[in-house]
Amino acid sequence: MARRRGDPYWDFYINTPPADPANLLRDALRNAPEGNVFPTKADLHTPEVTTSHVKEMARYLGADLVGVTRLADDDTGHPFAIVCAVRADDDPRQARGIGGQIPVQNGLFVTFVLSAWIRELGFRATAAPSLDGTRLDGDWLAAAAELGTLDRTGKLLTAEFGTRVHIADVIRTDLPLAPA
Amino acid sequence: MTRHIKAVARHMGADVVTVARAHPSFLYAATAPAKDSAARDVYQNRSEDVYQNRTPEQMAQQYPFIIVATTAWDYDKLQAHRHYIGDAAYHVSQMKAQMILKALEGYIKELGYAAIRGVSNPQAAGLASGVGELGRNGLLIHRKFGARIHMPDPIMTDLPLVADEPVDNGVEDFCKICRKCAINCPTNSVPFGDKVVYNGVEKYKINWLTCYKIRPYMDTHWESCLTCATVCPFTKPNVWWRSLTVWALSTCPVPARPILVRALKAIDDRFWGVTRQTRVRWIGYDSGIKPGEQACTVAGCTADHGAQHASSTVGNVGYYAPLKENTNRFVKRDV
Repeated sequence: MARRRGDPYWDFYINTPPADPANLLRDALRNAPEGNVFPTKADLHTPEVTTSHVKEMARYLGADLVGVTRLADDDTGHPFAIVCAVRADDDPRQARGIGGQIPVQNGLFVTFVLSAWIRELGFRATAAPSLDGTRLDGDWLAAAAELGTLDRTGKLLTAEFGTRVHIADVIRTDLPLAPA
Repeated sequence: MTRHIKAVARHMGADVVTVARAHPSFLYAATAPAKDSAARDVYQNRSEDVYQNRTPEQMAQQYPFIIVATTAWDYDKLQAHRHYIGDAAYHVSQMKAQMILKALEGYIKELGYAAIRGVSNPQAAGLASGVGELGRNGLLIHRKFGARIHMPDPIMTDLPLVADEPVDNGVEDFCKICRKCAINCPTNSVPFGDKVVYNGVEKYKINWLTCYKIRPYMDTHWESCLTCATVCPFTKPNVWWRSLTVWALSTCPVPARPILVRALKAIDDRFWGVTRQTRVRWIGYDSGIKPGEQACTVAGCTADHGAQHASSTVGNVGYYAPLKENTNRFVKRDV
């Protein structure tokens, strides 16, 4: 990466975890409370058109890849999952610095605003973990939403960015969508 | 370190990042209001705590640099000014700019230096660091993005940096001649006249009271007006012919500029119109019904329904909020 060449601080920015976690915006975004669902459902077009609207909104908010899939056994009554992914030059699972966590932060921004928009349309949507606290398997759902395929280690492999991609928190919703 | 901070801000998603040399006149007044004063809000408490009885001069000496990092809002959606689509362009990029500045603030603190928010006027710092020039509409006009850039709360820091210089893009000469924002302002808040000296700053003084007074009346239709930013001839897509024009204007000798500006303004009037209103459709939202046009209230529907969907059905249906035809000249109509 050209930006990294001759920059002695770049490694610190990407890889060194912050001494004070409060300096990381990621956790503040993740803990932001979700709002209420609007009491009246909005007029919608067909699920196919609504899906294209959701995808365009997600891309506008900063998602590089977005897909929709059906949730088979969801106990909370959300039939669909919206999977957003952002480009990540450094894998946030290894790069724990503020710079390495920037894709996570951008992904949280997308999922928060997108799910808030769906709630304002009058449909349920949440990016929080399931009721029993387990997070959905983002890689598997992203592959089901046709963002890419799973490689040998179970990571998402996309045509656009290879494995250099971060899958944001999965949004579960009852907005009528057309899964891939 | 300046290169690094700029690379970091761009990695976080900033479109524009500059460094200003701090000056006492950039800082907000830190006089503590009375304990029971209504003005004693969050911001005043914050700057009062930050100042810790230091004068603005001492603050500017101790924290000599101000980092201005900001985002530009989307050109195509901005064309739907005075509509929710324009609001989306404005507020989404505003949220992103705030996110970037908060993350950058955290990073500077991790480096071991102070990062102080809420003390510096962003426009003053932006002007001094060469984000742009002040235009007639009271906005900073950037070389690439025109008036469509945010001015969120900048970071004052003692990180050792190299300050940027103010720029000359020819905005000064353009605004003397072009009065597009003044013509288009729905409340006539942008002046047609010359610059005045206000608070020690020579600038075009907009009437902020009438500018803001339109909002409570229009808040069921839109939140942010954005008209003066949209109609500004400098607000164009960032493409080669725009770069060429701004380069020609900024390299032109100052005495010859009025001729060039008049020519450019004539071109702008010819292709973009003196009063610009473009209909924007975006994910089922529609920026307005022009005379003779019909719209369906179902999101994403592009079918031609003819006369059966008369304008009586358009209004508070679904999630549409069409632009009313007579929002122009709001103040005069009210008299």
